Amino acid sequence: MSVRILLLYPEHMGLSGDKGNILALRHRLHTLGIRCEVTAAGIGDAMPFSEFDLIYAGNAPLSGLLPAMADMAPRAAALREAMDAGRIFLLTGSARCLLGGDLTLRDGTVAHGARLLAESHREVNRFTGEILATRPGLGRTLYLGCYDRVLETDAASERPLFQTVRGMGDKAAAIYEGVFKNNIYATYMLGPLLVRNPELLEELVEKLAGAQYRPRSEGFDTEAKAARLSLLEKKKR
Amino acid sequence: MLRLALLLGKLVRFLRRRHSGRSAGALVLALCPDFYSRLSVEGKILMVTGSVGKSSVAAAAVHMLRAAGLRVVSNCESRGLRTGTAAALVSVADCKGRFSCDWLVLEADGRISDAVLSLGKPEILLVTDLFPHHGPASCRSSALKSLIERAAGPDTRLILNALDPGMTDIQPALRHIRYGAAPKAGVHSAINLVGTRSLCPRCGEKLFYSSVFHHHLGQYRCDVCGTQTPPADYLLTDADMTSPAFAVNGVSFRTDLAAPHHYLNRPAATALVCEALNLPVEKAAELCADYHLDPAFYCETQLDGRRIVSLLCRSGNPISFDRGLEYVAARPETKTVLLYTEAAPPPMSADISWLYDTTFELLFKTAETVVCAGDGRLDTAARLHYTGIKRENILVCHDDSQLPAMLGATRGTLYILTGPIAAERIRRLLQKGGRP
Repeated sequence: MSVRILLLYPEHMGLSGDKGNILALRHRLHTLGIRCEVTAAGIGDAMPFSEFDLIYAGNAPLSGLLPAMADMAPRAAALREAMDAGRIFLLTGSARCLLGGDLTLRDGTVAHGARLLAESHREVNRFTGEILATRPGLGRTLYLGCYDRVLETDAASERPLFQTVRGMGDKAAAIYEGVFKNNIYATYMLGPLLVRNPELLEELVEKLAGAQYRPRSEGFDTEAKAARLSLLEKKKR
Repeated sequence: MLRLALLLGKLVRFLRRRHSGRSAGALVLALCPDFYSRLSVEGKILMVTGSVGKSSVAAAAVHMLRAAGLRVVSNCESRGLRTGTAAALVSVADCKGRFSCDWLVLEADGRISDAVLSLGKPEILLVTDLFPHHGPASCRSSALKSLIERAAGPDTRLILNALDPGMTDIQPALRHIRYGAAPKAGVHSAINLVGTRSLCPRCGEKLFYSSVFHHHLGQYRCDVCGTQTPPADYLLTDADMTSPAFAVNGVSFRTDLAAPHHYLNRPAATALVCEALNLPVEKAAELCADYHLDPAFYCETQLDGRRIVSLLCRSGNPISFDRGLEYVAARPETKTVLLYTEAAPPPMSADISWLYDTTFELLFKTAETVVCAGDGRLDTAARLHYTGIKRENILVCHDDSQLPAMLGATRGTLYILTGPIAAERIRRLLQKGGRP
């Protein structure tokens, strides 16, 4: 068995340690005896989304995001086909704008996403911080992440990926963060999200591996997360 | 309050004179938050900024200026930029906050931009590199460009690294002086880094690199708009990394430089001093002759027969770590590597992105054992696990006091990769604990 991953716009996006997500997926699939093939595609390249099992894009500053959005918007039909076929999309940081609606910049110009997600974005002052969150309707497991962004989002009609316990949601004072639609996982959390949250890694790997999936034992990543959560708990007290 | 802060700061500096001075700096800033703006400086300012390498360029320049008989004050000899700068200035200021010198050499980034700007406009501003995504926010190009814009006066001369395409359109109205390395001076792949600097800063098309010089980037060209590496006014040549010599503009320099990534900092410091004092390069070579790299950057010792090498690698800065890892990986002997990493400061304490922008894969099959310590130890161990290094070869030390014992069970040369403060602490621990 093999799993095919499409890595989007590596020259423009994925510059915040996002490659950790690909490393984690590849390594975990390898432990299950599954070959993992990663194909990179940039602006103007062919992107046969439906031929891939997982499509990934990472965080980028606006200078990288805007050309990627311009390239992605005309591919909406192919993206929708892949989404309806259950392909997994993982979008971290500002990459969620690729599949969203309009992004309004400070100077009033508007960039268009592929409109698979019913959300709109605005350029705002920079926010940085840490998120501690749960998954709505999926128990009390805590998820950890960071954001460093100049965007806020209205995604009220979409199912959120996270409910924040601490840190900022899609916009100031929002408790919901990200979008979880079909198999699209879109979040402002940046960087190696799957390393930080081994539970999410397992969820994706289970979907990708199907019958070949076997639960894993503890690793450095689970220890690191436990240590971080314990530190946060101590600070809270 | 300034007088009290200065008095107490000087006292703490005296009482803790064997330490880095950061506590004095922290005390002064706590007592007098507007400390910098209340200082009065009589002297010319040289400022060194950039994502990586500013400390070593500033340190070499300070040595050369002092060797020329000039009175120099600098923050580059202190540990910790914010508190270290305050500590350095406390020791030279009088009770009214005045001090005079021939040159004030300031290492600066986004952490202390307001502080250094309140001291005055620099005569010369040197920029080592401008990386947009690597390292802490204060060292990224957006923060540094803002600092450069605010710091530069109409007469400020800019010294720029010719090899970095990020410098292409910096303050075009000012006079530019450039330093660089000849294309054959050292070709290295640095794929991870070049991958993030692969687009032309002017037209956004692909940049082609014909050579790369040890993470300071290299000879680039954009075939669409013609942007390319500009000629260097101070050109490093003959740096083959095997002999203790190199040349700048054809003038030979003797050196104790150990790691290839230190070499480009010398033409940078040479440019700074030559431009400041209007000296020929030959004179700079003389001033530099007895300069030795600060042990914080590179320190080689023997402890009970075991060779210990410590290299400055700052947590949170992938370029800084990549340079150290590249050096270690190229050493042929059996080795153990201690990675002492620290978590990012709040509010990004959980940010481990930098670990995944760093090429730890260089240690795969080149290090026998890797020991992870510091409060980033588990995140570092998790990162190493994805490099292919076997789990049994990754040791995690949860308690620093156990480091000597844990390292004692390993073999080969011990390479310590960490920041300057942790490096000093580890060296003391090892000396106290016996053979590692």
